[in-house]
Amino acid sequence: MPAGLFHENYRTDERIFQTWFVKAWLTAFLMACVLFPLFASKYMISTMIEVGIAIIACHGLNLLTGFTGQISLGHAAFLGVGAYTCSILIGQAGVPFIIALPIAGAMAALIGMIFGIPSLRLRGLYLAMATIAAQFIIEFTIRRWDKLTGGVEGLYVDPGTLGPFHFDHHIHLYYLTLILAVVATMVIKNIVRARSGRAFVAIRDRYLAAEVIGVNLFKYRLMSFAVASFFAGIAGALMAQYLEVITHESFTIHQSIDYLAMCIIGGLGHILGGIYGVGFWFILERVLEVVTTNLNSNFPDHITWFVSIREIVFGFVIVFFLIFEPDGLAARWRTIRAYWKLWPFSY
Amino acid sequence: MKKLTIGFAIVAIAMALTLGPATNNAFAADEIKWGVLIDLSGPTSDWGKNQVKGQLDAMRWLNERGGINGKKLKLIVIDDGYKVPRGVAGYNRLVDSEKVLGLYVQSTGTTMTLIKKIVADGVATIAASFTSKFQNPKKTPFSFFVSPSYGTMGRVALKWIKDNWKDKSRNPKICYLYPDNKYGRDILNVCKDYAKKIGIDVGPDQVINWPTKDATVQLTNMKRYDPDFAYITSTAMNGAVILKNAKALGVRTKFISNIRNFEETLITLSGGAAEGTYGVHPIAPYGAPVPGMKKVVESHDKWHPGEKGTNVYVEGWVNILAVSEALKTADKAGDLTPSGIRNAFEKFKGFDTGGLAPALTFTSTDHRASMAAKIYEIKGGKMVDVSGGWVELPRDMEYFGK
Repeated sequence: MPAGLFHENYRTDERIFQTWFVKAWLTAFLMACVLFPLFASKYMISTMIEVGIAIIACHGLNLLTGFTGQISLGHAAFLGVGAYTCSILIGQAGVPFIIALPIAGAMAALIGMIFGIPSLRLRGLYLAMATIAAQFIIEFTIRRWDKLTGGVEGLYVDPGTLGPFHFDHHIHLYYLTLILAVVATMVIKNIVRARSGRAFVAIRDRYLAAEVIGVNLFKYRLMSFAVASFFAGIAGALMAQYLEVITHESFTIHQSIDYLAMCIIGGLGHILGGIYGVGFWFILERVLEVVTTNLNSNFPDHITWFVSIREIVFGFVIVFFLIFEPDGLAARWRTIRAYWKLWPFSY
Repeated sequence: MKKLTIGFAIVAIAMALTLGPATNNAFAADEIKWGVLIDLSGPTSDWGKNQVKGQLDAMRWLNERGGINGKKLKLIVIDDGYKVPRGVAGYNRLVDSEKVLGLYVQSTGTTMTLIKKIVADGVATIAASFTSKFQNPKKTPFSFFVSPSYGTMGRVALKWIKDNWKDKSRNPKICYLYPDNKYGRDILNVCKDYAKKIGIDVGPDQVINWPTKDATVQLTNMKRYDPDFAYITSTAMNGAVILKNAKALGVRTKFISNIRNFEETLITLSGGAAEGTYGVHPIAPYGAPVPGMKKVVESHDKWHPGEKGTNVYVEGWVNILAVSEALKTADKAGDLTPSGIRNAFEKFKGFDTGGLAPALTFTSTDHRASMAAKIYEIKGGKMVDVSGGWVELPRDMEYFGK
């Protein structure tokens, strides 16, 4: 391992994989992901599909909230737009899945841009209110546009196919989600490294200064909404494939808040934040579920206590994070890495 | 560094907790696993807690008396918080990881979302969502529930209104009050059609969404039409607001609550406004003088002394009694598999729960458990049977699966 990293030009400074060690580690991780279905149970695979979908969604939200500083509480609604667009295109128009998927993203991006227009005038909590409006309007539209969306009855999703792959099979869907999650991570990393990414950060840190140095606020804010919603749309299309039946209840404001919480736990404004946040969230949720279910089965008299324990622990962990890890797991990971890099000669 | 150590400790404990129970999953031959996917922490948690209390008590009562032909019944309860994603995750865990033989699903949204998976996995489900859409085995071959459907109960109420209508100069008038969701809209087509057929006039619908904070506007609108009856599709927590508002407005309309609205909490929450209102319900209220009630009351007194029994608790018993009957039949046939349980359910012919619910009948072409319910009136804070026995509808195919 090198004793230190010394950058002599911007090219090496901005390189994604800075050392061979990172590359090796990442390759091993991706190999593990690829081989995962060989030894995992069906339940584990379906959990990982959920994780992959949430990672794609959180990357979008992280770009919007973490990098551009625009709080969105309507992210799940954009997932809904993608989910319904893709499902309707496949089911009612007979469009192949491979075409319906990007259209779902594009549709969500379009709707996201429409709801992003107020972002020119609104910031912070006021923008959050406007995105809540998006959440309710989209939910209401799904509920009431019976002819297209099936209304409150929900919509049966036809499984997407791509050559020999049928995405109602959980392993096929797992690989699709894995590929898209990796692609999404690379795309978002490159957006952030490029001109637009720097513009986003400038807007977040001080929009007035950004405008003075020539950043077109409206354009980049809208772009941020569009990209975030595009990711949400793709995630939604995958979610529809995963759920097989979608109703407006699958894309509620609770879901939006959960995504935001995942981003905060992982670290707003860090690419890895989305991944760590989602990972931590799912591990915590499933661990607590296993623990409470076991307690429930063993002590049926006190079932209501343990249910409360789950909620309390969940809330406690989030408060704990906000106090002790305001920058999220990604920042903690950096600290740990920095410590071990110099170990045992740290001072 | 200290923080880091604590962090590692937390991770280690978490790992221990996950791996510990995971090793206990080894299948015990004398144990039958049944899943319960229910809301214990979300908006319908009051209902869910009573339901699960009844189911667990029935399980204990059953296991003390030999279980399923000597095998112990084990309920695995998962809380979904009334959220669809959590419900789906819980279902995957129950079916793929715990390998349950069947499960109980509470939330309508989760049931709707899972409907395709349930058919693909071939797992028998007992639903708390009594929509008639789950009664046609051609579409949902693995769905069962122990009560008449919402639509059937709505028709029972209409039949009772018409049968007891004295004023021959005009038809009785009714309005429907419901939230704008799948559950709320479920009965509308069937009930309005039936009302027209038997000669009841239907007034304008009043949509009262959840969570209900105030229903004055809708009730004032309704008052203009001045119906004799209003049928509330809601839950006790939300329905109580409607009844309180109605009392404050001085509405003369008689309210009829549907099954999910008509429970003991409605009486306590409405603070006296529920007095004199009606409810249509197939499950006997807690403590009702029916033969099957004795064990329910005894168990409740034994395991939950000092707590209040509810009709939801009784419904939990009925669910488990029906499940255990199916499991026993399947076990006797040596076919203790999800499809075996489906076949066992379809052999139900007038299965009697001791009057706790109308006799249950399922066939391979018809998953309607029963066609009867009773009408109760709230008198002195108690549910009193005013229909004098079951109000029964013919088992015809006219509204089947609608």
